[in-house]
Amino acid sequence: MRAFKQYLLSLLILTGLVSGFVFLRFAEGYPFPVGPQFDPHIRQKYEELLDREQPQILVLGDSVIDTNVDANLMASQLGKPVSAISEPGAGSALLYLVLKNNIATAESKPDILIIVFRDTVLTSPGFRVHGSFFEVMDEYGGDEDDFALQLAIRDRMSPFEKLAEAYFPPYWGRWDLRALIVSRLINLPERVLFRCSQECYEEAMQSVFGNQNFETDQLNETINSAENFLYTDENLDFEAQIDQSFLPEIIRISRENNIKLVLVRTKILRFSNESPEPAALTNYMSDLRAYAQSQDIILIDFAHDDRLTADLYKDIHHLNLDGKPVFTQMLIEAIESVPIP
Amino acid sequence: MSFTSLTFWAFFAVIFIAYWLIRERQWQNGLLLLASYVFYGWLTPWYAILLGASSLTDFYLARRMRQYNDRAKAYLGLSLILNLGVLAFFKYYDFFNTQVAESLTGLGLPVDWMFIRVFLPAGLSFYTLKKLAYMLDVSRGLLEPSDDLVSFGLFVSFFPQIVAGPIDRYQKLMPQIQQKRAWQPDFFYSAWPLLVTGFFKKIVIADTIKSFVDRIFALHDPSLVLVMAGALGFTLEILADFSAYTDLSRGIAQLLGFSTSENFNRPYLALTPTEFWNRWHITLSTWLRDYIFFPVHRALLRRSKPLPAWLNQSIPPLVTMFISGIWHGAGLTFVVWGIYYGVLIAGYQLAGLRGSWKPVGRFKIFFAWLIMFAFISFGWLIFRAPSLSWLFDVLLHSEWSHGRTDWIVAVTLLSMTVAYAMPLLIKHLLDEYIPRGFVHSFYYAGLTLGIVIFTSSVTSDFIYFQF
Repeated sequence: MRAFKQYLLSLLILTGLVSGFVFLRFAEGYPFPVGPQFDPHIRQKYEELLDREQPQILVLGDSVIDTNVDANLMASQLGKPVSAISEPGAGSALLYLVLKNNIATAESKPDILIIVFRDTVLTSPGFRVHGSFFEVMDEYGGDEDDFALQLAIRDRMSPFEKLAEAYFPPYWGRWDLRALIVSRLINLPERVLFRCSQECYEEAMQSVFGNQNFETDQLNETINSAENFLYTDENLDFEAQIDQSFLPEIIRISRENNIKLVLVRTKILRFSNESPEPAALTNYMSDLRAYAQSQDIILIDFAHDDRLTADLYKDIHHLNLDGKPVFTQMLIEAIESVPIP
Repeated sequence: MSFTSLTFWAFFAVIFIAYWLIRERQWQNGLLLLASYVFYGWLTPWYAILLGASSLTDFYLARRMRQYNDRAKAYLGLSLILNLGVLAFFKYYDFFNTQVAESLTGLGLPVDWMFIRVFLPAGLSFYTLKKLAYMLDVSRGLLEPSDDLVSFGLFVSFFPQIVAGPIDRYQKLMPQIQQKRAWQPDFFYSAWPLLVTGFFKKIVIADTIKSFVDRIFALHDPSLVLVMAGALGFTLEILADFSAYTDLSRGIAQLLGFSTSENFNRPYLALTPTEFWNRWHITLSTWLRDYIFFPVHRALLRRSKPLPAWLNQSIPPLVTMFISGIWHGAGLTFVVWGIYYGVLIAGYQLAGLRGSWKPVGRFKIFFAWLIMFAFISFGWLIFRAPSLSWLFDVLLHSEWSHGRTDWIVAVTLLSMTVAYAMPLLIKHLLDEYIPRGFVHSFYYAGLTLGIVIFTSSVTSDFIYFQF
């Protein structure tokens, strides 16, 4: 009893001290804004790319674009300028921000936008939106993108979490406090021993933990477990997800900018004879197909295409150098029949 | 349901309130049994059916064993075959299936039909050991078989313990299940420090270190300096992760009025391998000691043609630790890890350094500790290695470092390991040198704030779930 009272008193004192520190160091008002906020500056990297390359066809997606799509081959075979945007680790929130703040704002908009995705990515708005993924989102999001934050982050928080974010300083300031602990305590030895700045530390991490350095099986296992989020009951429920996802907005923005939207589902090696695709995913895809049809969107599904054999992959998502032309050729054949608006 | 998920705590709140409102022991047990099956079958109801069927079988076999003394061995044999058969099937099917499939593919035979994946039900290894101990004790006449199916079912499935122990014996848990339990504030006062510590170890220490360690063990050609840092990181991660589960399990059991066993007693301070196993996963170690080590040792001593003394000393730890290794998982790394400890224990014992050995003088103690700690960390390196071939490649062919970047990453992980080990070290010093009082309470308050700061909406599973 006594020990517990002492604990509560200590907790009160410590909470007061940490809260004071958070107010002095990080806060700009109270109650705090719920969830992370975007910096007002928006990076125009892809807007510039589009204005420079003036593509008629633009392929957009995550790192798979880099390994699976040969834009030059597409351009030469289709006889149209083709560009590709590959944002490693991109979820639907980032794809939406790139479309809204870079592609739609470019002087030279593409006629056809091909978004390459896998399984439920397009209707899982909370996929890859925290930590370093948020930092990339922040580059392409600005003051007027509260909708993206709402859909990607705030809608995923429980009421209790929202309350804690708004009113409990140690919780609101937890990311900054963690960053402070890491930079002051954990990164101290390498700063002292190697005179290594944050930039040098990040370079070292990238050099040691670049994808090319991983055991294929281990990498696949890591990718698989990180992707489990896409296969939860919640995310496999198309009807429940569609209205709270970025897909309707992606369609709207494309339509308003006279861009013909083509969705391409890639093949991944997550499912096999050993562990076949769950029935819920099959149902999800048929719902997505019906939805795309109702929205006059072209949906191309390569997920079960036999031309993409396992030996063409370097991990469960990415094709190797032999696979790239195969996939590109498949994409070309599928796109050839798409009328340009 | 993980102990660190909101779903679990919502579930527990309902059970907790209903449980203490009921007051009648039989109903309380019935509720706990129901809760345990709901908890266990939450994601895969089929697992709960397996648990129920195997509990029911052992309940009746134990009673038969006592009723028909002349056939006791046959009933015990049947129970052993069923328990070990089920465990072996779920645990090793995939491993052997893959090996056989690879051989058949090599011969050009079709193997598609073999690709039926069998998933190990979480906790199967733990509750199987609980039931085996019960059956063996009944067969030896050390226990009267239970005549209360609900109580026996609860003993096997008690939800705070079912997924990753502690592996409490019937003698410890059953008297508590059968006694009247009324709410006492002391239950809460004993539980909260365990819960705070458990959450801190899992959320702040284990999950943070894990992300780094996992990446090192996923590299295909890591340098030795990275592997050493990874092994030390994993040494901290596995202690924090597993002891966190035990703390939470014990705290939750306390809130329900049960006192369950400690599983860890500062294992990394051990000076000998025997002492390490007396301090690490204590309920498993004592199980292995009582049901494997002692029987093997006795059997060797009873041999008509006695073996040389060094063999009598070496065989029991080798057999015991080999079984410990394969209990932990299907894979050659676990086998080698088990044999490694068997050899270490036998080696130390043959050198006259038994479990209670302690040299005289601080320097010698420190030196003995350092050597043992290096052995422990190397053991975890074997345990965590993705495969035996990876481990041999690294140890035999890897360079010390591939350059400055390796050193930067290794030093970062080392400083992380030291920084995150600090709270555990402080706790040890507080327990050792400071009488209970405000300082201890302040420490727990610090941990609580640490949990708030390190909370993330995604918490990974406990490592020991997979065993």
